Amino acid sequence: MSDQQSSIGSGAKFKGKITGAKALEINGDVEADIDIGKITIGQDAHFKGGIKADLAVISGIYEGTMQAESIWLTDTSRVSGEIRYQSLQMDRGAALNCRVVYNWDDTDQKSKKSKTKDKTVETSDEIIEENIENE
Amino acid sequence: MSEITYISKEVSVVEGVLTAEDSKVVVAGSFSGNINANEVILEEGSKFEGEVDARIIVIEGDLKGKVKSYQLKVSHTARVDGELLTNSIEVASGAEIAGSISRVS
Repeated sequence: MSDQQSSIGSGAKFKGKITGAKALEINGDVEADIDIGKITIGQDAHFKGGIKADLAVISGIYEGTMQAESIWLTDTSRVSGEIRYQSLQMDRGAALNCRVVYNWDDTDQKSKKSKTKDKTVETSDEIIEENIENE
Repeated sequence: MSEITYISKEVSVVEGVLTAEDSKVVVAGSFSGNINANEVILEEGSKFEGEVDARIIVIEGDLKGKVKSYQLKVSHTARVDGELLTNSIEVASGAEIAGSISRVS
């Protein structure tokens, strides 16, 4: 049971601050500020507050400011407030009444570019090596 | 979908107020605040500070504060500082309890 992920069950009401969680599943009524890896807000859940996450899967009601690398809004989701994302998936039926911001991160873009450069260098090296072998 | 509320080992809750009257709450991490539920289990290694009110309470970790329950079980790994209000108590050998124990009136 010790490896089980944290969850707020349906019918439960929570208010407070949660830190250190890697993953959290919410099926109840929660008012909190959370900094987390993965958060799942279930179909019958109601969440109010700020979220910072790598991945947020929303199927219930969300009110607040959310910043996540990846956001998935399922067909039953209801969102108000603001969402900031790098990658967003929205299913048909998802209801948004909020500000939606694509979170352009310059440093991230640069690092991605330099990675692609490295790859090109590697390939050309490989080609050269192949050529040498062929000769 | 499980009705259980679980606070895992790596998690810490501050100023938390948790109400789950019909269901079960398990705390393995640290929790400060109030819990009101049907059944509360404070697992071994957990830290709790505040008030717990539940029909059944099992304490296996550290607790500071006030406990109110119909049925209370304190395991050998528990360390309790505070006020215990209960109608039925079971304390395992090895448990450390400091404070008061009284009946729920």
